[in-house]
Amino acid sequence: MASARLRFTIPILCTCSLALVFSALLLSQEKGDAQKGKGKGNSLIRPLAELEKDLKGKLERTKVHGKSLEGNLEGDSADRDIFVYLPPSYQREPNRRYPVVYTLHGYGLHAEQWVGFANFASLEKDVAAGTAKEMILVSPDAFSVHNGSFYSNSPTTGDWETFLAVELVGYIDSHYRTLANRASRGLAGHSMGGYGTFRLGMKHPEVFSSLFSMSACCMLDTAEVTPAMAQLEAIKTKEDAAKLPFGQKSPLARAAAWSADPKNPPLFFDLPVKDGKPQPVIAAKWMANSLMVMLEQYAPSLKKMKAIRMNVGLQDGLLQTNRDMDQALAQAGVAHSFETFEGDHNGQVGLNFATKVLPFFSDQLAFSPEVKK
Amino acid sequence: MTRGTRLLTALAAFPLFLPAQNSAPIQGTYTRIRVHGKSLEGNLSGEPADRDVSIYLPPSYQTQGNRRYPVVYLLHGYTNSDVGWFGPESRGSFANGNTMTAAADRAFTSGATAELGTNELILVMPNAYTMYQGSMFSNSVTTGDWEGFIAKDLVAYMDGHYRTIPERASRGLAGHSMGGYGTFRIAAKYPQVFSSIYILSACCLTANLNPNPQGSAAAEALKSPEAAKGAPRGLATLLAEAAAWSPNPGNPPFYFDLPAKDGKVQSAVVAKWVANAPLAMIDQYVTSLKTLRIGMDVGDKDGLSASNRELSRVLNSYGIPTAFEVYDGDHTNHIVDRMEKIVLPFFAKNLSFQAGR
Repeated sequence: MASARLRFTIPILCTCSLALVFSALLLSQEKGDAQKGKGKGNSLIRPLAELEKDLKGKLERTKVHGKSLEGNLEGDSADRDIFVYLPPSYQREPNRRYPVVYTLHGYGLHAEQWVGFANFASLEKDVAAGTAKEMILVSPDAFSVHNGSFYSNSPTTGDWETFLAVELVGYIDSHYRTLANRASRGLAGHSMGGYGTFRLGMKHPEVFSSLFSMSACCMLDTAEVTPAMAQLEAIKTKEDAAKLPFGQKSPLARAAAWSADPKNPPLFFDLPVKDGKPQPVIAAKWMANSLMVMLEQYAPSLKKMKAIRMNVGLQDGLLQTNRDMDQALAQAGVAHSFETFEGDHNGQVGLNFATKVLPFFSDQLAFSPEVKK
Repeated sequence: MTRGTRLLTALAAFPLFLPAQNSAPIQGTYTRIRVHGKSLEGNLSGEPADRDVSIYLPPSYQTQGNRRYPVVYLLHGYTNSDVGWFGPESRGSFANGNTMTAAADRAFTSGATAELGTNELILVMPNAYTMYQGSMFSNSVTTGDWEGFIAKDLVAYMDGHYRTIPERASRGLAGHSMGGYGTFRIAAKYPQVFSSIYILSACCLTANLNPNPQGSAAAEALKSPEAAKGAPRGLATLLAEAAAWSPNPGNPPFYFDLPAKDGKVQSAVVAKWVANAPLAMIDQYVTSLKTLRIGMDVGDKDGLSASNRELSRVLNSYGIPTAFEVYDGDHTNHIVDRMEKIVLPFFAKNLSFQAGR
């Protein structure tokens, strides 16, 4: 049997590289926060005000209520910040309708930072250069108690799958002049958002027709009990969790997303470790939420996509797991393209968005209402 | 005791509801048709996409030409088939003429609820017997998308060809063992299609993170899928689960990977099997499950009683109301009785008999 073809090894890659990634994100986030307060320049996250000055189109900030997020056990708000970019012609041409690309930010970020991190303003430069077409860009905020929802469906964090694929899409289609069909809807995201991109694409192929995953995380999470993980047993309350250094919080976010436990207040989740011992039942839940593993069940959904593209930096700790996913997609017969680029996890996000992501959707999405499927 | 049985008992006490004196036929109609499964096309095992399907139309279906009925989709267990329930090859508790057809006739024409005239259901069971003796009702490029076949293709066929009430409120799903497993996973993924489910003695609930390193040896020794014909149950189960849960289009002629190879556990394959265990996936589907009316049961002498109790416990922990009963019995010996006296009344009570509700 050819299980030897599956070249990835389970135990170490995912958790360790995730830690690296999240530490890397910490830097960007701290800079972003500092910048918000003091208005200093930052190479990775453009402040909103600066970005808006560049825009001929309009960036709207709105709040959308998520019925699917109501009653989540950890108490995240069901009213989410949503950024909507409308291209310059939107005001001039009141009958024109546009495709929409939904973009998902990574762990530790807010939507506001993501808009500047991906740099939505680059769309207008692309359009001027003829490498992209005018479209609507949407960015929902998925920051949670433990810094990121993982775009999953959990009683503890809420049903983010339905919120995004059904409620948010419904809201955007009813409040903006969209081309309201799957052929004109794309989904993209970075890191945790790349994970969300694949996950939502798997679960809702009837909503989206093209996917772009940037440096996606969580390809195979075996919930390995590292010393850092074991230390999290001491975290009993939200207050304890808030005091943790940013880089150590992500297992809490994953537990909230993937191993909810309504009988275990006040955090309402189980960790994959208890009294220093690994908890196989919990590890199984984390594995079950890993993309490589979900792929077996959801290959038919992904096969319905018009196009799937994924890329990752050669200096990214997630390089190998993304290569593994590329291979697994190929094995499952899911048409897609995969590329690597010079760079780490965060350094090239803006460039990637401008030169790869936006041109990709300009090629793949339907820009006229005639095209239905 | 379920609410259904209580109702039955309570109503039996009132002579008002004794059998009516009309001349309604007392037998339903059994047919076996073939339904094409678009979702099964191109499966790498080469399973036929045209599946035999047993259909039971209730007694009044022939006489009341305008009446529409709720439908309960039934899923049989591993190594079994639709004719193992409906005949002519009925087996286990269905043997000796005690078929699902006979049980349904009794359920719909005797007992108190029959006189209310509202308990007749269409029953449908697809044949999920495959080259490895069972499809596992999963979604696999190797076995085919059985979830889609049941929830989309078969439902659409029934709604297009029979007088069904083509609405979620009037659709139920139930199954035994492998079929109980299928019931859970299909309902979790398609809550917009079914409104009530009943899980009998479900298999495959628990994730196994530590499979036997030698456990795949017999399967590895097989040269071709043909050689698996007539394989003993343990081996066949392994093959069926591998085909359903760890397909690999790059690995002919079986097109799947096994959880161990050359005496070494294959962690990547184990992870895939784990992801298909309801007790590992349930937390992701709480929103779906909350929209369903759920009944489940298991025999106290069934080796699966502990895992079924655990499923019930987790459902309860999420506040998902579940009618759960542990009864005196083993894995198979009371299934036809349970169907007649508990499961069909459960659906008669929970499904809507009127459109637009």
